[in-house]
Amino acid sequence: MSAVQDAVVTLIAAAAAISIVMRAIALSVSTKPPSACASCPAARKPHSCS
Amino acid sequence: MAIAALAASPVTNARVRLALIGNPNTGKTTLFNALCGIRAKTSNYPGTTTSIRLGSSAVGSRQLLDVLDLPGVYELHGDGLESRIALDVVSGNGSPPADVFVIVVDASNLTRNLVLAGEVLAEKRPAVIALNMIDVARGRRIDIDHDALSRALGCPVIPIVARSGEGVDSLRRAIAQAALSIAPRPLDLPSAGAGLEALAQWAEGIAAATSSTPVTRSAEEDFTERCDRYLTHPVYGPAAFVAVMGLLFFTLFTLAAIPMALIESVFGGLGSLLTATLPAGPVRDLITNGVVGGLSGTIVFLPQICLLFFLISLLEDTGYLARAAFVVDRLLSRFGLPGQAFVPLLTAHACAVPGIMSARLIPNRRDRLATILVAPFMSCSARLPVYVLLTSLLFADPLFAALAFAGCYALGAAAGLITASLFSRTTLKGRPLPMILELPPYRLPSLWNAVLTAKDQGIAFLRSAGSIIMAICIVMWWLSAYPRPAAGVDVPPQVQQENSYVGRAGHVIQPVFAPLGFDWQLTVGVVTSFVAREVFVSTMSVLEGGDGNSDVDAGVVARIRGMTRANGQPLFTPSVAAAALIFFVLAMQCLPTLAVTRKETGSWKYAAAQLTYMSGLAYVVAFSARMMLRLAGFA
Repeated sequence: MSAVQDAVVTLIAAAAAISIVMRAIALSVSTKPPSACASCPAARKPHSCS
Repeated sequence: MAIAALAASPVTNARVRLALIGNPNTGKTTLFNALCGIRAKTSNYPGTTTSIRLGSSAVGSRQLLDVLDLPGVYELHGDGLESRIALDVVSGNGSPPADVFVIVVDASNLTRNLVLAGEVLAEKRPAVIALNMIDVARGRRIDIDHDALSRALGCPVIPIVARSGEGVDSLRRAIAQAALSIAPRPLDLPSAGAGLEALAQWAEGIAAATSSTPVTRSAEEDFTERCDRYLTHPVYGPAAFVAVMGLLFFTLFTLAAIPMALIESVFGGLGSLLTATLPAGPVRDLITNGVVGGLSGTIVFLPQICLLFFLISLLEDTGYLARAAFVVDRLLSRFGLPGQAFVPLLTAHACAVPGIMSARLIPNRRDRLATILVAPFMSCSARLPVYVLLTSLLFADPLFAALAFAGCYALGAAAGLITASLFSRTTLKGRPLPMILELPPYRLPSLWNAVLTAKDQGIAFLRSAGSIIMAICIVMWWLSAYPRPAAGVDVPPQVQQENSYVGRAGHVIQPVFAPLGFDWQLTVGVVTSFVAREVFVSTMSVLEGGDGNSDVDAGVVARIRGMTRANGQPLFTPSVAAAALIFFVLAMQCLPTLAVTRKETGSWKYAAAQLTYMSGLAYVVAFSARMMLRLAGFA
């Protein structure tokens, strides 16, 4: 039973780690900075800020 | 054509593009909200809109208007980025111009506002004048003949109060009619290229012919002038600024204590319940120590974050923040920063990312670079939970904790200014350009606006806690719980954690931070917070939960205060807590900020420099502070 639980928590932790890495990759390749909408004064075209 | 006919006409399927243009602080954003039913941020502070907002407005049962809220400008042909954005929209540079321009004019300051109106009308675009804050003008006994003004300008003039919605329906009708007309040019408008002075004379003439101004000053003007005599005074002004900020932080600490205790008890109860009901094993440990323990360590600081932004919003609304900018501008210029840096630096107190981005408003590249490079020194909201934790560990008395908390903000700002001064004498030589700032009249703040601002910030914080922080909590728990000891072998929890993956990594990196007094646990907390600073509290909370002595009902601060080193000595001695606090004030520990610095400067070189000098400075100052405290006899 403990081995099954070990496997479950390890899978969950691996998924969490992948989500962190994916976020870091998305951040480094993104052309738009994160949380950018609050103020982006140089936006030359109208856009909607959420 | 009446609006009903317009709505029924088959040709009206094309949406009308409407642009709101006007001087700063004339209520464009309030009118945008009134037209579109969107709650954009508004305040009694010039320059709230630093971008173009787009919304849509319904006329009858159909959506007809696409509404653009342009940043406030004093002149269309100015040097600033706001002027260039507005001019592009007016002249149709890059995209078709708006179909109708609503020129928002402050009725209580007609002459100055008409200068911009003249520039827009000279472009021969269909336009409507929204004579906003007519109630304020009436209060000051300013009488405006809006029919005469309409004749003089050659376009409709609609008196409105955007805040209450008075006159907004009339404005909609006027917009619909203007969209179908060709804008006539005012008869006596100065010719194109006549210059700003000619326009100012023209505006003065129109204002004199269409409005009467009272001989005596209004009570509101007298009150504003009396207050400003002290609040913008070279000596009393900075003293008042320090007093206001000190009061703000003291209120923050004392008022937030009640909801914090409530949140702690809720999480404590939840942890106890889960421990009692779930069968023992790794899954229960993950849920109670990893998820609940980690998240409680972060979410407990939600009241402080909401309260801080609530209070700042109240200050903005009163008009005091503009005075603070005026007071701070004198200081900034001495350190080689332009006055325009105030807005990015203030924004960076919420988050360095929008702070750095709003530095685009600074026209001069040298000034812009200096602002970008020092903006992350300002204490952002992600540092808030760390400050609260470490100042509470340092001082049990809320007054001293509040002073230390305010001191963190002051230290960050001082580091930014000194660094800017160094830059201006070395790599970024030159003098900053002067700033022109409008001081709005003092007004009663909007409590509702402050509540909504606090809610927005709180939701953003909870979103972060629910995504990246939770993921890091889970990973941290796993790394601190594995590899597990062999079955049947009884290992004390502290030894097991030291042998865990995170314990081993912490021991490898710990020598780097040993001069600051950090043990392997604190080293892990600092290293993981390079992803995002607020992760520090949850990481410490998870690590604390793994020593087997945790009491789920004890407060987060009390539990972390009780953390010990391998030799059983307290981890957070005064010198270590102070060193950690200083390190967090000064170090660059934010990946998104580095990414946005690279984007805004166009080079990784500046991001790398930012990471190096900020973290290097943090290390040196934290080490020096620890040594001084130890020499003074502190543990």
